[in-house]
Amino acid sequence: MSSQQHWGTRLGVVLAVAGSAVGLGNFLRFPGQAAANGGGAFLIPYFIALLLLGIPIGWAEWTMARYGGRKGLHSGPAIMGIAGKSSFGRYIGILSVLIPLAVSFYYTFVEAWCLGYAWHYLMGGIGLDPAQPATHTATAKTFFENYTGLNENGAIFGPSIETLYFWLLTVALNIFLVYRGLSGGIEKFCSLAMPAMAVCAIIVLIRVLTLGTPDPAKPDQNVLTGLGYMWNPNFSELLDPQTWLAAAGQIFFSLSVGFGVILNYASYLKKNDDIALSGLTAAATNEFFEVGFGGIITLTASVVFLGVSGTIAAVSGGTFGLGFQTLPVVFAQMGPAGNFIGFIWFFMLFLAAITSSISMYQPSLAFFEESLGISRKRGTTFLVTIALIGSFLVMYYSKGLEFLSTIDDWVGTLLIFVLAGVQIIFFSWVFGLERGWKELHAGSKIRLPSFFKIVLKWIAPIYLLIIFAAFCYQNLPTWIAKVINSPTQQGAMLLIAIVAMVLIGCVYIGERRWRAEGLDINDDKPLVD
Amino acid sequence: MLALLFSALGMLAQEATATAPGQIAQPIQPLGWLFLCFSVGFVVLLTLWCYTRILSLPTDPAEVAEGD
Repeated sequence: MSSQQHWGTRLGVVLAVAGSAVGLGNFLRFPGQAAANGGGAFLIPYFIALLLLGIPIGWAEWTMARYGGRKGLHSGPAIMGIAGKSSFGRYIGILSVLIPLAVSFYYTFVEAWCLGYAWHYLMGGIGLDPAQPATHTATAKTFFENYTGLNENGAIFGPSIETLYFWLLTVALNIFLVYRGLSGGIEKFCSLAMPAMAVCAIIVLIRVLTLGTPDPAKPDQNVLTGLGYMWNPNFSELLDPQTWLAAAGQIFFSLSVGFGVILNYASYLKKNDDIALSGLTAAATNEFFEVGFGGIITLTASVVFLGVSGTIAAVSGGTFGLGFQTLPVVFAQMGPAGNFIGFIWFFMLFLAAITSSISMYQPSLAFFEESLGISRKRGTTFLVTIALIGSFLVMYYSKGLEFLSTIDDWVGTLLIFVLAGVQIIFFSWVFGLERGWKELHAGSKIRLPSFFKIVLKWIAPIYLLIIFAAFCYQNLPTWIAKVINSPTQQGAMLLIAIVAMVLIGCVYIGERRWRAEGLDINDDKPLVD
Repeated sequence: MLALLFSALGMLAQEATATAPGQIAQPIQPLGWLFLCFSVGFVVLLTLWCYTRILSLPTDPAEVAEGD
């Protein structure tokens, strides 16, 4: 069934991939990373990583996906099997389903927060009294803790019950859009949601840039100081390897390469559908939102109302702290328009989140249909069952958001490096660079400089390997210690392992079915046009 | 000329990095404006160029409807 799906328009697949990439991190993670790692100077390693790592690996993923699609296969494991010319490729390709599926367990939860917050702002705010600004931080913190169940497990059936309702609505909408299919569901929605997101971002941007100096008693807290906090360069940070690691990491996660989504989405392209320009456009769109909006809105608004020291504290609180605790305080001090801007902001984050989450369900659905030979309806039932169990566990074990963070660390962070590394090595060294280069350019509307051949074969893999090694060195000992000491984290790891075992079983069944159908699953025969 | 340019940039850099961002409240400096304008300008222009290219391409024939 899934092989009959196609993207409706050239722009549709671009907006769908871009929608998958643009998420909360563009608006909340990027500015914090930049400000903490050299300000404007951060953009130097950032753009280098974009050029040498993010975009090239993206191109490799688009190319392998379209090639696999032409062989009649649309699921990540099958495509990786073709690219890797082996069973090993298929089994390691499980990551291309495990990653988006496991991440979706908590992503829809966060998405529900965005929708819930947007609803509250539409209805008058989250309870921050404009007449008592001294209480704002504590009130925002309490609201967030109650909304997310941060303080105790099982809160989703107690103080956080409203979040559960929004989550049900969110998941229903996701399933509806994915079930409607590629063109009628995902493409149509992203074609509306992406421009809507841009409009929302522009509204907030204009409001932020026109804030001036709201409190004359605090002349340092103004727009220019906010921009300075984010953009004044500290070149000494460029001598710190951590800055380069942070920049490469940010590009990597922001573009959603090595996530499994492009591997599925691009498999529905036809033989002469462009890849080079489409891949570049999707990446550019992501950067447009990240640098153009995330780089100006978030921290500027924070500095204007909280000052630099308040903003430093907010950034240290992480993505969720900045987005769901600090910014409400900012909106509360914006005067009468604050609730409207808050609604626009959180609605924009909701759109960013849902265009990402629908992309997380689609690869799994395609895989279940293809490997098990079942209909879309049954595949959806299977997917929903797994997603409900996984998401329920994330929501129930909400204390400290530890269950969520464990999946985010091990699957949403570590495994992405692994999948991207395998993909670029398969593309350049197993599938073959010359063949891959030719395939990439088939139907292409732009010609890539031959410099990118060296990037694809040598620079990107080595760069990625160095970043991954440094990342493991920095984080693995702490992460392992945390798992050993926490039953909650062990539970999360068990969930990941069980899902992985289910996927392994599906690959085993799929492999036999595909061979029986005569599909060229190891790329033993050339494509006949 | 190049030497003059680099030494000017170096002086600006010294001025900009004399106080690390995020530690002392400081309005955006000339180098900060440079980074902001270049970075934002680059991504905006790249995005515009990409979409202009894509939208100016001839429309493909109608696709086969998906078989859902």
